[in-house]
Amino acid sequence: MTDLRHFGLGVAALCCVSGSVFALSPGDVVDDFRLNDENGQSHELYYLSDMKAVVLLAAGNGCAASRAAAKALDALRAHYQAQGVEFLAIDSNLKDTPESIAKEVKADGANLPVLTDELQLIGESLGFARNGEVLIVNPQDWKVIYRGAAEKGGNHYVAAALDATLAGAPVKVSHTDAAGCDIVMPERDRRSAHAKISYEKTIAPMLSTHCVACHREGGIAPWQMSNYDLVRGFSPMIREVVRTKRMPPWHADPHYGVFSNDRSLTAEETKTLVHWIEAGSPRGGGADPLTEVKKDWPVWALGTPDLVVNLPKFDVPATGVIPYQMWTVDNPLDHDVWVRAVDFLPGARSNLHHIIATIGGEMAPGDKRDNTDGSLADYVPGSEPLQIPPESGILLKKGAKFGFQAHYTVNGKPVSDVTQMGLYFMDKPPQYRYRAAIMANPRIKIPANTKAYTNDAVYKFDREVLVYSLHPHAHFRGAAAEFVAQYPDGHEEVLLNVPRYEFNWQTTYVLKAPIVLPAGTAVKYSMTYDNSTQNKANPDPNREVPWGQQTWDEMLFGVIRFRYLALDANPTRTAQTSP
Amino acid sequence: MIRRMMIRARYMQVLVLCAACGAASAGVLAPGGHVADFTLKDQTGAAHQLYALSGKRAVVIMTQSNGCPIVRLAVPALREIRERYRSQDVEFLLLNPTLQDTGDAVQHEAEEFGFGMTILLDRTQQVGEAWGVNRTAEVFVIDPKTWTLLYHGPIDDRLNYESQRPVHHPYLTDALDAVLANKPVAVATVVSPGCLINFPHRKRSY
Repeated sequence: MTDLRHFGLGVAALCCVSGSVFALSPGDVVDDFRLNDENGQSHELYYLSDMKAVVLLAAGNGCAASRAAAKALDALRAHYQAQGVEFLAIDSNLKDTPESIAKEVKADGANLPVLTDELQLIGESLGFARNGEVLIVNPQDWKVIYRGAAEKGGNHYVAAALDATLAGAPVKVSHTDAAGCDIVMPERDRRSAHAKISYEKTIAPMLSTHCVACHREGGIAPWQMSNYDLVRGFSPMIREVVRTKRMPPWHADPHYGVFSNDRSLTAEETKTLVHWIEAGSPRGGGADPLTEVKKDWPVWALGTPDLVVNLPKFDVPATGVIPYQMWTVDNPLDHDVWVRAVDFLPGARSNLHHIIATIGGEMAPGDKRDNTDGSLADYVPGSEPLQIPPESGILLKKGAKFGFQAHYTVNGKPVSDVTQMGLYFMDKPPQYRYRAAIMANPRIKIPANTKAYTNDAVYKFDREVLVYSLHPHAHFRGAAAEFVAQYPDGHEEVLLNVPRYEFNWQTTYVLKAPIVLPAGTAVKYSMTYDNSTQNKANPDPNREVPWGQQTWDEMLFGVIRFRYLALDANPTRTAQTSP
Repeated sequence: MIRRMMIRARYMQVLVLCAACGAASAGVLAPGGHVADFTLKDQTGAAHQLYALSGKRAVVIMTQSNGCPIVRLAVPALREIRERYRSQDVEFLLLNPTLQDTGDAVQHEAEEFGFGMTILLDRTQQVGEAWGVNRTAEVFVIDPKTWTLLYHGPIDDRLNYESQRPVHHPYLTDALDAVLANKPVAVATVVSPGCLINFPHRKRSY
């Protein structure tokens, strides 16, 4: 161990600018990352590519050096922000929580957003050793241009580095020693232990559990985790998508709510996977469990459906942006039935991105239909079939029509898709109807060239309800979503926070334990849109964007699935949709 | 004796690491830099020498790895550009500098996605290392008169992770138009989205 570290330092001294091989030095590239701040807002480093410089401060609660540095940076902020410099603090201290950070920030009257690095993965890779240390990054090439103290002995290092960078000149003093409070990082000194993480016993089983459902032959994922060589080849990419929270595709803030369809890795798994990759993705001994992954996936996970509905055939081109497909399909049944489960069988699994299935088409705001004529089920890759809790069901009336919104993605080759929907019926009517509350605002107008524009819709429950799931929906410009319950006694509770909304993944967040909302509870659903050029999915940042079904327009649209708590004596009409 | 051998082994390791270190920072190929010759086999087993293309007016090489959605979506665009510049003696090639993709696997990918392009297999990663390749879908434009690198970046600004949008900056065709007009390339380096390629011997800062 000691040997290894000395060896590493020796190498650095011989050939690199300065610092150990495990610390970022001026000239090194900072890899991308995404973290939530103390208020649950998401920040991605590489999103800041339109900035001239990004100043990162290692911050910690109760640390005088960190406080002094934050104050010094705060003083620079007003001046330099106008010139395109972003200032962010990162708290990598294990003892600090978003709550305690928010409290400290409030008490200090500080203005820097504090990103919470609870897994320490970002602090470790930035080489943060002390709270109070500053790192300045140049977004042109993401290289470190300064590392050290904010200021010392009257020397304003950060201001000098920023002035030089803004003038296109090299930074004269690019490395100083920062005093400050040590950050306890237990994993930082365990690099040799990370090299012993077992591919066979730990990594491959983790990938099998969380990734292989899509990263398999015929799955939607573009590559297959079918052996060690492929995993090793994609290792840096796996590290990047995990650090930027692109994969696994689960976008809920873990601080609010517990969801039964949570696809994320646990904190421990995430750390283990990233540390294994940073140790060079060692193969170690033993078998390769990924070569043994099952080849025969069940056609219908719940058995043969009671009714199979064929969706229209769709020819997916090799490349381009495909508009959402909207289809209406007749219900062939001549009698009413109650639906207990819904599943989808994609024809072209690698291209079908999502389906939103409804009875009678998607509900529009102000729609006065019985809302069991509304939402049916969603398909996203890797999702489980919808299984409605046993006491509830969805009424499918004879003569009703199914509505489908299908989204296809291109992958470089043309294919044809015919997807099937399988419905499973109940033997007798349920005690409760499985209902949907629609929250929408068709009057949204998203201003052009705006990085964050938030709008909301409120739904008030006039009866006591049991909430099963929450579904935020927007298009290319959707950036963040939140569901907040405002209880009759006045207190508020975040039911779901999606700090980075990703339109590609139309996830319904299913509560592990359904929650009771008393009569009179209002739920506020808000969506934040990014209509700037920094949103890489934005087709036209210069346009004021109105409501519309297609992805180049926008929707403020949320769905809460619930049942009444009291028995449905006469389950006919439901509460109205929001105005 | 044993001790001396160990020291020597360690010394050699240091040198190897240092070479990689240089490749990742100071010694890396940048626009204006010299492109060394190489000979690589393609997915069908045929050998290609870079300097055999000295009669061309420009050589365009884009990095590729199997299973990367960005490069799968970039290849059709590159093919279209090849058609547009067909009469102007510009050579277009793909380069696979990965450890994991065998010739057969690359051939399979090329057929499945109808790449219709020659893919050079850099199985030892020598070219990828020397050129400072980081991701797939990175384009290198080379001047075969002087063997200097003229452009390193994406085809354009259309593709990103799980998204695409209309092109606003056609970096590659801008570069080619400049080269063919004997003018300097205005934008010679652009940060490129794509799949990170594993270069295990390159010095990394984590």
